[in-house]
Amino acid sequence: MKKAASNFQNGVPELVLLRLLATREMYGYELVKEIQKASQGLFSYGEGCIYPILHHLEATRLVTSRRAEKDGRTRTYYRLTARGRNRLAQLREQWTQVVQGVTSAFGPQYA
Amino acid sequence: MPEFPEIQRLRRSLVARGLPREHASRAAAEVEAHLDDLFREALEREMAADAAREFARSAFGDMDHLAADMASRLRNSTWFGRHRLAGFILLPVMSFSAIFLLLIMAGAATGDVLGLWHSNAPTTAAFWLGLGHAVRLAHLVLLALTAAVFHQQARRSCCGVWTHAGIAGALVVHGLVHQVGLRSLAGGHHLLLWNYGVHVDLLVLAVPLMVLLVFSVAEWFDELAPTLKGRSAQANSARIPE
Repeated sequence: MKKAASNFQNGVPELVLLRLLATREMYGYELVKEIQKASQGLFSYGEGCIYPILHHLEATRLVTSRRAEKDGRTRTYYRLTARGRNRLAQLREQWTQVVQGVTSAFGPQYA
Repeated sequence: MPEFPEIQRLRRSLVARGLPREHASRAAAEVEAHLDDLFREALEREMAADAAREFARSAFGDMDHLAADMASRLRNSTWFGRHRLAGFILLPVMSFSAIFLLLIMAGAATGDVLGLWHSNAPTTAAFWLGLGHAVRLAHLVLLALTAAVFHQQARRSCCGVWTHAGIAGALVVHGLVHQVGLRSLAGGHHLLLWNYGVHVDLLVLAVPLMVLLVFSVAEWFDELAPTLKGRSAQANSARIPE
């Protein structure tokens, strides 16, 4: 993501992480890859950015985590809680309003 | 799995920034597994082992920066973490005073119901001495409990060593002026002294410091336990004859 776009990024990583975790439980590395894939390479949050947000989401009980072993390797899987689903719905609504507002501000009547 | 020495630095940095040790260890293990995934990914892209290790490291960047970001976000997750001055300096003193006031009022009401405060009550000198000790003990126990509860809260809120020192400091300073005792008056009357500036009871000053010491020693043991376990396991395996 270009630096200029970072002005519009506040709250976006949280929204994206909650959205992805709403589909299934995932661990950190998986989430980083999934974000790149889901955003078609437009978002590439560094590894250093994901964990502070995940731990914050866990502390605020929007996600829960569990340690599980897969292929002989222990991973921490995160999944959305009911509270997280509500927060996702809230954020999605706010985001839709922002997009609608900005789109309308750039509409033909202001061209 | 390749060795990533920065994982230990990350863990230490998280602990130094106030994260509970088990949380710091979990976060470090998680980052280590992620580094390993990146390392394997780089190997699959046919990078040399050294280049693969460097690729994994560079994805995370500076571990101190990661630790600072993690600790700051965790602190901001709780009211106490966001309001450390109010939560760990003012609130311990205020809640301690308020609960002690309630205890005194409950004790006074109970004594009144039992008729202990009446001038013709069958109380002895030993009773008043015992009551004086009980009030003092309640004061000290409540002080210790208040300190312990707020230290635990500071730990949960990922607040560092200065916050723990602040809790102890606030309670010690409060103890310098807030004292309690029972004084005998002429005619067999007694007066409960619960005010500011009576006389300084050194135990009231020592209790918050003792709780801080116990808390720090417990934390230190917590830190040391895995190392000691590892050493003991190593010693045991060394004793097994081949």
